[in-house]
Amino acid sequence: MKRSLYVFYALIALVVVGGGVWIASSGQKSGRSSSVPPSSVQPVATWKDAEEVGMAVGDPKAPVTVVEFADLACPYCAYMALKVFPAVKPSYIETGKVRWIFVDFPLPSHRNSFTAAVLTHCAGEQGKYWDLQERFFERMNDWAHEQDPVPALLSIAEELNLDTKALKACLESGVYTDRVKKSQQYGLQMGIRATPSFFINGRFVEGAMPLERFQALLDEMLSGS
Amino acid sequence: MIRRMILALLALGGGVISLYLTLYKFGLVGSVACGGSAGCEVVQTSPYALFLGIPVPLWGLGGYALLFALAFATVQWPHLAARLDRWMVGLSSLALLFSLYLTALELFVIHAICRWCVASQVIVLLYWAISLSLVRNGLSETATGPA
Repeated sequence: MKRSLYVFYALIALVVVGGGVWIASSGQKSGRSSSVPPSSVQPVATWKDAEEVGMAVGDPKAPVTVVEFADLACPYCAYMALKVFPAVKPSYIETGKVRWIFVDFPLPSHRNSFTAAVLTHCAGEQGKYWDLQERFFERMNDWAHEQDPVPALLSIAEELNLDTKALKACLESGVYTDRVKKSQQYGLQMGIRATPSFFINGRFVEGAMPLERFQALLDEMLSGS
Repeated sequence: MIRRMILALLALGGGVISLYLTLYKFGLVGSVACGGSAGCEVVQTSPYALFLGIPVPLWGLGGYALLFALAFATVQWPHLAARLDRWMVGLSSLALLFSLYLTALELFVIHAICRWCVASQVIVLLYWAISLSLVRNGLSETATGPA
């Protein structure tokens, strides 16, 4: 009886220590940086090919290029889009220091993000690609878990005074479906497995990060360029 | 006695998982990226990740603390076992119902499964089954015991 109690106490200690080690070892991994993605897939494309599939903003001759792979239903991508990007835009992009290329990478686990991505490209025909993308990120909870996301997405588009009939027709025509599929395929070729993922002048960074850390990365790249 | 020890260890394991998920919810552990966490980020960032305004893993942490305390007490003070066994069944029944509700949400509403949530749900199911077997044994012993 006494012996089994000692074994019991030892097992309790083992679970506590083992659990503590496990939790500590899975510590914060925001903004993991490396030369290549930690994927088993070897990149078969280069980050410079992003120009062909992504939506770019900023001077094409800027010394630093940020390629972002993002999913419109990913809250960490929303954090980057709503907190980091707006702060980086005036001081780095509009001053010609950084070119930012946004590449759609709808994850299979987010069933509605592909449709949302297609709609943002449709909105691009009305000159509101970035506006709709921002609004989709802001209102993610209104559409990301819907069985049929189209009504909610179109209702959000309507708030931006977009022509929703034209958007719906564009979505149904499938004219941008291949484009989003192509960007998704490109992400897989680059070894992307999670969003947001970045290539900053070719250096791979996975995960969202606070503005200060992102700015520090950009400054480091600018000083080295 | 062995079954009570298993109950305490199960609750402790569940507590570790709940602690991990609580820290994950607050962005203190795990990758802050989508797609690399076996569906946990989909579940944890959905509107259903809060129950009565409190993050679901925190409920789990509190529940497992209680389940552990009950099982540990029955090991440490066996004379309390007969009374506490019923509490273990009652509390783990509530936990099981809550787990079933969360599983239904994951399967039919959120459409994502978090493997750590599943592990926690399996622990609750085992705890419930073992504690129920303790109460049933206690009842049959009472029924067949000396008059």
